Amino acid sequence: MSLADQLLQYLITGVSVGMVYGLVGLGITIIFNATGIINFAQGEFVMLGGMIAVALTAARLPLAAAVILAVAAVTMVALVTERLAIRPLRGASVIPLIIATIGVSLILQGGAKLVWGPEAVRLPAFSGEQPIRIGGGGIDPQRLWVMGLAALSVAAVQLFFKYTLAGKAMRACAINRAAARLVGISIDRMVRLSFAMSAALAALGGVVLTPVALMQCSQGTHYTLTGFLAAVLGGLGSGLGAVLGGILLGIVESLSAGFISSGYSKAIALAVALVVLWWRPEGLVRRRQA
Amino acid sequence: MAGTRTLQQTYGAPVLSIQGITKVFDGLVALAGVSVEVYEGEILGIIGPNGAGKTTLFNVITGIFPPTEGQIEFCDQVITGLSAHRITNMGIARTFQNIRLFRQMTVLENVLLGRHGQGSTGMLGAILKLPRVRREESRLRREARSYLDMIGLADKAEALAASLTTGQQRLLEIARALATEPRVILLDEAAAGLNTKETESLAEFIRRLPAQLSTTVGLIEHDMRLVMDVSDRVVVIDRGQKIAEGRPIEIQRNPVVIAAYLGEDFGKGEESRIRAGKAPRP
Amino acid sequence: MIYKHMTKVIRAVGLAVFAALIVAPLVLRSAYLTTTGVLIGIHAIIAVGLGLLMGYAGQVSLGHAAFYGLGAYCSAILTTKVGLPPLVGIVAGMVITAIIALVVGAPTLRLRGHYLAMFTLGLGMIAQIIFNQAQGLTGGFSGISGIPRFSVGRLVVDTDAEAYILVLVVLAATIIIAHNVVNSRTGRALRALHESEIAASVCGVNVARAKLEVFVLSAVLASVAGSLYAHFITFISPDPFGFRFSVNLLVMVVVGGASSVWGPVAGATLFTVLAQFLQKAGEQVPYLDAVDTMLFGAVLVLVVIFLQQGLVSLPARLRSRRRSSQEQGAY
Repeated sequence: MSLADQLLQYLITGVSVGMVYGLVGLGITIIFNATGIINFAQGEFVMLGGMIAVALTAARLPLAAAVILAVAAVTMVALVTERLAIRPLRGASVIPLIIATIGVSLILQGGAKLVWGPEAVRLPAFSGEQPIRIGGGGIDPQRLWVMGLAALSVAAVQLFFKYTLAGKAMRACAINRAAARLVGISIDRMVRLSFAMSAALAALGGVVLTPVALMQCSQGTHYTLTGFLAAVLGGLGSGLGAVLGGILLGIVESLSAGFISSGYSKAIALAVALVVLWWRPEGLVRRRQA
Repeated sequence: MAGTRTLQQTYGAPVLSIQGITKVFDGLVALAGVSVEVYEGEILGIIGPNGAGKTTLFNVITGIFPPTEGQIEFCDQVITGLSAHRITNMGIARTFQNIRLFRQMTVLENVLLGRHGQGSTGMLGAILKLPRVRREESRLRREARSYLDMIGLADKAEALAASLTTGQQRLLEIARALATEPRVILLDEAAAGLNTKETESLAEFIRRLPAQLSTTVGLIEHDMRLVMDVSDRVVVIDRGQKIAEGRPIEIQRNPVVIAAYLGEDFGKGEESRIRAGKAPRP
Repeated sequence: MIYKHMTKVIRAVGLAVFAALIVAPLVLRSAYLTTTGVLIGIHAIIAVGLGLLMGYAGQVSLGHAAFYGLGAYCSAILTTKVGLPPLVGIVAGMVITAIIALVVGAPTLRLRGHYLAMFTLGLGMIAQIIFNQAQGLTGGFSGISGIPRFSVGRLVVDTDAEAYILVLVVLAATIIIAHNVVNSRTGRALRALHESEIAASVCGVNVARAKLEVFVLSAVLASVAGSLYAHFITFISPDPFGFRFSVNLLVMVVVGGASSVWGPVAGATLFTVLAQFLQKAGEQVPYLDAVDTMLFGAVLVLVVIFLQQGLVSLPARLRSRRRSSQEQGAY
């Protein structure tokens, strides 16, 4: 394989993993804008999505059904989480909210371990394992699924915010929560909606990524962290920023795995992101108003 | 221009010079190019209808947030954009319209925080608790008590700030601000929530500040009698702009000012403006 | 009236139990108790520091396990591979930790609450990867063994009982330091900014700097605890210094209560005893570790919802409830 082919492969791997980071980051941004909360359990939704899909296919459900059910199940989990752990803390300061979401992440992680054990599991690829040949190298078709579905859901989220009443209401909440309440927007509903949406995004990311990256009950924290970094790199304001931040992170990770060291690749990506934020805490994308 | 020259003659150079300050919040213009000079040793009243931008002006001066445009000079140094604690340590102190005391701390501790800049013990000193540190602490306590004596709250030193009456809380907040040894103190509605008697003694207290502690005073106030009574000069702000400036007696007769206030009181902005415009000029 | 006596009795009994617990491992000469005692002390040293950060600076660190690990690895590497005395290892760990905490804290503590949490989480993950990957330095998965017991000159802390006393001395010093800090000019400023950052800043308090100082102090305390751990266990591997331990520390502080110096000590004691018990039980019951992960998660959520000030606030709470019920009775 030539260097160019190698580079292309690393880029595709990086972009596809990065888009999942971006989906998590987008979810974190959505919740943050609607509620001011950083949800430290967000990565667990990725993990749960993957795990549930694996369990459902193992129960001989067709793949498509397993995917949809997994996303739906995780969305339900997020709604229960919001009701039991977040709503009682209405009006609390940052620390209790961080602690509560960490508590939730432990519950989900422990639960997953109890049900599925500590081993990594794998989902069959959506459309076969046969690599698509490009130049001297091959691309795993699942990578295309990851990129396609991620791009599709990001587009759907953008359309939702732009054209639907609920989407506009959520943007209003992001700008000024008190004013949004005054004009009759139900904050409770917005919070629920933001949790549901972000969980669905994360779960979908988890499901499509599991065939290529495997899934393990302890991996949630990694996705929370990369998702948050993606969101902050993207300025915590715009959804597209989070996706771009995630892609950047994914590419750095994949290139350093390919050219420097696979053991250190995640550490390098994290370090690069932290250094960038150290230097520009407002993120790379200028925050737009709404 | 002639007026400026007289002020310079009376007071000397301005201690605080606010030059063309504009502040925009999310597209909402709170201040639009306000310039004010504050002279050493004067008491400057700042009045204006609700929402005119008076408190925003204080917030910009004290570094709570930076101005969108404009510059502030304090003792010939540019302080625009500096953080609040640095501005305090340079010599500008303030109180808040909605009293911001440390409610769960004692009265004495509140004043001690005002003395924060007068101490130098850092983390290492605190950990080791050296004799020097103990000496500094008892000096700060002694000094803090003297400020409590000044406002007559010495007997409440160990009470929680939250347990004081509104009047006492306002005084305590002033004492805390004075404890930073400011050259300029900015009082934001110091008389709000005070009864007549308390307001009178507050007026007396404010009047003595320039002579007693060589502190220049900026005073936002809605109680017209108090402002007109204690201020050497008054600045009027309306809708983010300075609309008048002068001695209290001039301000009381200024048709533009009357119009601004009538507009607010009767809710017929344009009409009363026109009516006031017909009023005889002084 | 009865209540009044009861408070006194409860306090006396509490003190007696406290004293008995402290000397129990020494008197009973039980290896299990002594080990648990040492671990409680080590955890409490970190928890007191983290408590200062959470309760007084209003910030959360999710990377204290990394600082703990930094201290442990510094001590282990410098004593086993370079042959330096343990004291040098401890001090080197403290200095390196302080520098890293400064670099991470200086920009993030100016920002809102969750930035430090995320940065420290990232730091913890990077540290964990380095502990695992830097084979030459850290021994990778298999870690470093043969770490000498702690010693100063000829004075060697040989037995577990001696180690227990050493840890108690360091813990006592930590508690005194925390008390000094809370009651100092800096501590007053911290309590003030906890109530109102704006009011504190117009009093001339450099809010970001005050937070940074506490963060560095708490990181250094974690490093010291790590060094003590390395010299006590004499073998270290990356496992105890991962994200999970950062979360455990959070559980200790939250359960005990961050608003007083004693809260984290109580939390560390409770947590360590329970964790030791669960670890023993885990040898018989499969998947118990998953259950206790869930348990600790649930405890975090329940405590922040129902008992925000932690366990140490319970007596005061009960007292005020009793008072209000008595007042109601009077009407």
